[in-house]
Amino acid sequence: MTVLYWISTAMAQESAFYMPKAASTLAQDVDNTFSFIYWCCAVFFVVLMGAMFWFAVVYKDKGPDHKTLDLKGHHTLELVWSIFPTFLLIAMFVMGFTGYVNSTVSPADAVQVNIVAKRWDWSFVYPTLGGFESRDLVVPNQDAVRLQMVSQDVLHSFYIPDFRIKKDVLPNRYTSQWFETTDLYEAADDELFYSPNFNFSDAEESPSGSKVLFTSRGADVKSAVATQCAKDKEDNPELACESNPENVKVGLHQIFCTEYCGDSHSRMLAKVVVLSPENFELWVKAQNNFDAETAYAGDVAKLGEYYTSKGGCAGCHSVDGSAGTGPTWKGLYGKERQFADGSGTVADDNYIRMSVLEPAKQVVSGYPAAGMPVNLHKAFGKGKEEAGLAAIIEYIKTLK
Amino acid sequence: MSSENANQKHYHAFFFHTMDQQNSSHKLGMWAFLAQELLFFSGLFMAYIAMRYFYPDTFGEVQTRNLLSIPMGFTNTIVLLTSSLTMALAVREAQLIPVEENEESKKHRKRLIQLLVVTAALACVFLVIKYFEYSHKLHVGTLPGKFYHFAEWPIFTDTDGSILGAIRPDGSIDVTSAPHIFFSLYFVATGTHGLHVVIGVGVILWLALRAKRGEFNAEYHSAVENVGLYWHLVDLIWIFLFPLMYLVK
Amino acid sequence: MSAEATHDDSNYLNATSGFKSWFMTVDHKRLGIMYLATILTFFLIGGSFAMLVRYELLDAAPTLSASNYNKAFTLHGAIMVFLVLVPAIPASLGNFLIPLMLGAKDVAFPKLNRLSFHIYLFGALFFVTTLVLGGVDTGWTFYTPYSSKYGTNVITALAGAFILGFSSILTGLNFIVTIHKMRAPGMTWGKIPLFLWAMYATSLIQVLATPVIAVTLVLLVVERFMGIGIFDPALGGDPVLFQHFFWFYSHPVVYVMILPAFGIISETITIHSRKHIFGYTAIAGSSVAIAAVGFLVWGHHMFLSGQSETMGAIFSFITFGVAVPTAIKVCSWIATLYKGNIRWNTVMMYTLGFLWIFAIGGLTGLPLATLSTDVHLHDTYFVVAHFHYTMMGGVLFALITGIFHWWPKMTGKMFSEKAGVPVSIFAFLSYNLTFIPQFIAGHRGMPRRYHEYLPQFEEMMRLSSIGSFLFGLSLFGVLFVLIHSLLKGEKAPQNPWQGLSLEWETATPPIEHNFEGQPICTCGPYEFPDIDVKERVAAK
Repeated sequence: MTVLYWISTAMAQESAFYMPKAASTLAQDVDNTFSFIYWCCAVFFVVLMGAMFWFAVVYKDKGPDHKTLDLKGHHTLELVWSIFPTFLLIAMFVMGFTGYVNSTVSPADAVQVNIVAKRWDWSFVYPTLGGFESRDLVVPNQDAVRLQMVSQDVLHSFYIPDFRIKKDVLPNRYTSQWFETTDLYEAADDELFYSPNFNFSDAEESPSGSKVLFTSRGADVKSAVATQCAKDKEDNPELACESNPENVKVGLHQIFCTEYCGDSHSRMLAKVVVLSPENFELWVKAQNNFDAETAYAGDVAKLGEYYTSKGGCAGCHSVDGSAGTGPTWKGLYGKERQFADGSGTVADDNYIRMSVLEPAKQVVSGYPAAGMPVNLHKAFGKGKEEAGLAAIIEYIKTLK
Repeated sequence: MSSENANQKHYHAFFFHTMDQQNSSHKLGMWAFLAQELLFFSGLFMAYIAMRYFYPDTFGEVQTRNLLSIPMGFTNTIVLLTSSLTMALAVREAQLIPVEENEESKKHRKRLIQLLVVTAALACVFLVIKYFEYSHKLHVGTLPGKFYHFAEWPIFTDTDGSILGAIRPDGSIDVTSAPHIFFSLYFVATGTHGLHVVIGVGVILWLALRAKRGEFNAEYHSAVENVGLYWHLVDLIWIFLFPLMYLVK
Repeated sequence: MSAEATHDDSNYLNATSGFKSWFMTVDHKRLGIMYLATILTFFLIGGSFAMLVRYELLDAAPTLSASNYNKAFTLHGAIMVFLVLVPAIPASLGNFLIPLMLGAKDVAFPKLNRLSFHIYLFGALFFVTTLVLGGVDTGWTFYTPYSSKYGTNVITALAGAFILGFSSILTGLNFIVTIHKMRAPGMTWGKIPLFLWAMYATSLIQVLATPVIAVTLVLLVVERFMGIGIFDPALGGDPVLFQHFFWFYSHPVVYVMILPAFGIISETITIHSRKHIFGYTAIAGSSVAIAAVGFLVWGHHMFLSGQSETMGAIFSFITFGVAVPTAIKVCSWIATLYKGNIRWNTVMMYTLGFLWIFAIGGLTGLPLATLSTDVHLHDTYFVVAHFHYTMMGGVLFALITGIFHWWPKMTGKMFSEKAGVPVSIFAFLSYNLTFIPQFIAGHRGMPRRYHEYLPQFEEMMRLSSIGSFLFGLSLFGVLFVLIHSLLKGEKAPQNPWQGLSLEWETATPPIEHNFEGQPICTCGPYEFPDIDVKERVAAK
């Protein structure tokens, strides 16, 4: 048994073709458990199937007069193949149980991130670091991170394959899990990380031709870090940080929703961006200092784009004309709209205002009657609803 | 002799060798059926236990506010228990009907029919009392789920249809209080039970009809026995429902 | 007794004719045949939805709309589970064979049997209505709050499943009483064929577990319709409570599906290797053990649902417990082959195929039962592949094994081995091609129920889709072999496989009331090695 365990541990060090990279402290242990289980399975399978095929061939039909062995059972053999596997199963249980318990109790000093799931996007809030919200799960490398998760509507499930963690996200209470990254895995050039088209500025179209899923490699996080570093260097030129975004190292990992939640379930993606602890502090500082109005002063359309990203509108509305749960915004402004009740209007400022504040009032025919959440304008922040609406209208105007 | 054969041909199925085999098969079948009925109601009891665990105060408050009539529930319990008694007596009468047609058979058959009818009548009394209970609730608004609108213990419904809890006298929302859920359980459980009572009435009256046609005797009366078993289970379920819904604080 | 039974050529198939004589029959054999035909029809419909799903998944980019895809996978799952897999073997082969194997003239409650069939059709009608109305998209598991708040045509689908449940309960009830009370003289519990032990265990589950899904579906319908607040958190309920209710039935139901399959394999592996079953008591006992322990493991579908770690540990431990009796069976079957006289015919090909498929299915359950590894694999394609190997591969291959094995008995015709064997190999290979890539995709992180997936999974998904199209073709091949047999098959001898259980003692096809007199059981059903069948028949 020890030999098997040793072999499986050795095997688990390399990433197998069937396993994503092991990027968290838990992942290693889980992969060892996998290897142990699969070795046991492989041995049993080979023995059983080998015996089956061997018997089938060697004892092939020799005619009706051939007498077969009158064997009704064999107590010793039956005991062996009942009891021996039981020990292996107990071992599997123990390995699984201990690994699982480790994954549920987070270290006391973990960075807390609150995750809010809604149909169909994830948002990440950092309550202890300033209360700001982020579209990516940005975390410090080699530091424990605790996720406290809740849903605003139906069941979702938060899954990071590279970390081997997953937990359902419920609407009526918090669930939690934690992880700690082992290294900053810089992505290979052909590795892609997807999220719905929130980060428009650095989005590239997916190679599969999907018009909704866009890839990004954390360029906005990198630039936030670099910009903050540059700012800090103004006060303290000795600082050893990276002010060129190209040189900010990030680790990237894909996040999936794994509990069916409706139409855009397969688009409810996000990504983890791992930064070195120093860069992570810079990034936190940048988030806390970020003020949308200042950042996008002079470019109202860009501000509008930012707000739509915060509101998660891309989950249903595309900007490039492709079909989604809601109508596309491309070429929307000024177009005729046909509603489900037969009436119609031109998509002007008032129409957009009504769609955000009272989405169920008039639904374009052919689209689901209920679905658009009613309080998206909360993304604007208190007191900023009018400015936000105006910005969104300007942004939509630019989408011809 | 020939009438015996004619009867035998009528009630002894060809795929059973003996009446014994047939009767014991019928009985085992009914016990298996009752087992699954029990599991069906167990699901409802589990839902009750779960909701009681989440909202313990609500269940207590229903008693304090006297929203369920204990006298009516208690009367119903007595009514059902009595009907179980009359059913058991009916089974006894069926067992006593001799196979040949004579004075004794007529006497026992008459009693059998009477007892069956009394059982059905008592079940109807149960249903009538239930009708009064339900119509009162309809009137005051202690209804399940989103139909709940009892003015003296209001619940708060949000604009998107979600129910957040009961409203305290000072206007704040108590999320640990959920009377609409209690009444959901009440109606689903007693409603399902009531449905089984209605079905029971129908089956018992059908038995009475078959008895009138002379179909039962000492040799063949498994239908009466087995419906009796069903009826006792219906009674038993009420015996659990009554304290859980009406009496427990 | 039996050789003369067919002298007037009247059997259960031609004794009476006309639609009414079939639709209103109480004859368990005719009911079995009608169930088989209906189940295969729904298998075709459920399979078409599967093809739609796999067609969508050929490429990473979407072809169908998301809503249509979601309906496709939901309908595929719901139809396959409720309309096909649950009644697949019990209602068809079970109905046909149980009285014959027992030496009885019918089941204990033939009219109830007919009612079961009519209820099945009625429930199926609800599903067809759901289809016509535009389909349901909640996933066959109907998790709340999605199914209590969103989703389309949910109530019709739930009503259909509810009604079908009664068909299942009544069939199980019938079989329990039949097996208890109607055994031939001399047939003790230790002498009944293992198919009957399997059916008995299955029937216990059907009677005890199905009512729980019935009450769950009722509560969900009422939740959707009246907002009772049990399962929907927006109304004060708990979505995890729904999962407990749902899986309390839905785990035992997979044993309803697979135990009869085990029963069939016990029959075919013995007859076609001319050997006594290895470990009769172990196999019989393990069937009942699996049925019993199967009621205690439902939480292994919910390790990540937010239930406590302690509960997770308990369920994981007991799940390993249910693996042991299953392993015992597989080892016993393979040991049965030892020093046998193994026929390489169609039935044996499917039997061996079953053993391979179920070995993979069972073994891949182990990383799912293990808590820490399940965290990575839950709700990924690994699970999809696992349950297709056990439920679909296992049940389907066993069903096909059983159909071919008892085909002569049911129809009086033989089928072509020349066609049957190659088709079986084609089916086996394409089946594995379909689902092995799914294990790999799931391991790499591909989630379930994804309409549009990421390009890194495309290779495996494409292989799987191609495999599925080939597998579909192979099933048409099976159908072809069967239809060809009906039209052009040779007349079957009374006991083509030289079996010893009582169904082979009567005419082929059986007469209307199964046996002329009362058969008596003088020996066990697997005494192949020490009794030469020819000698025994001649001595009568």
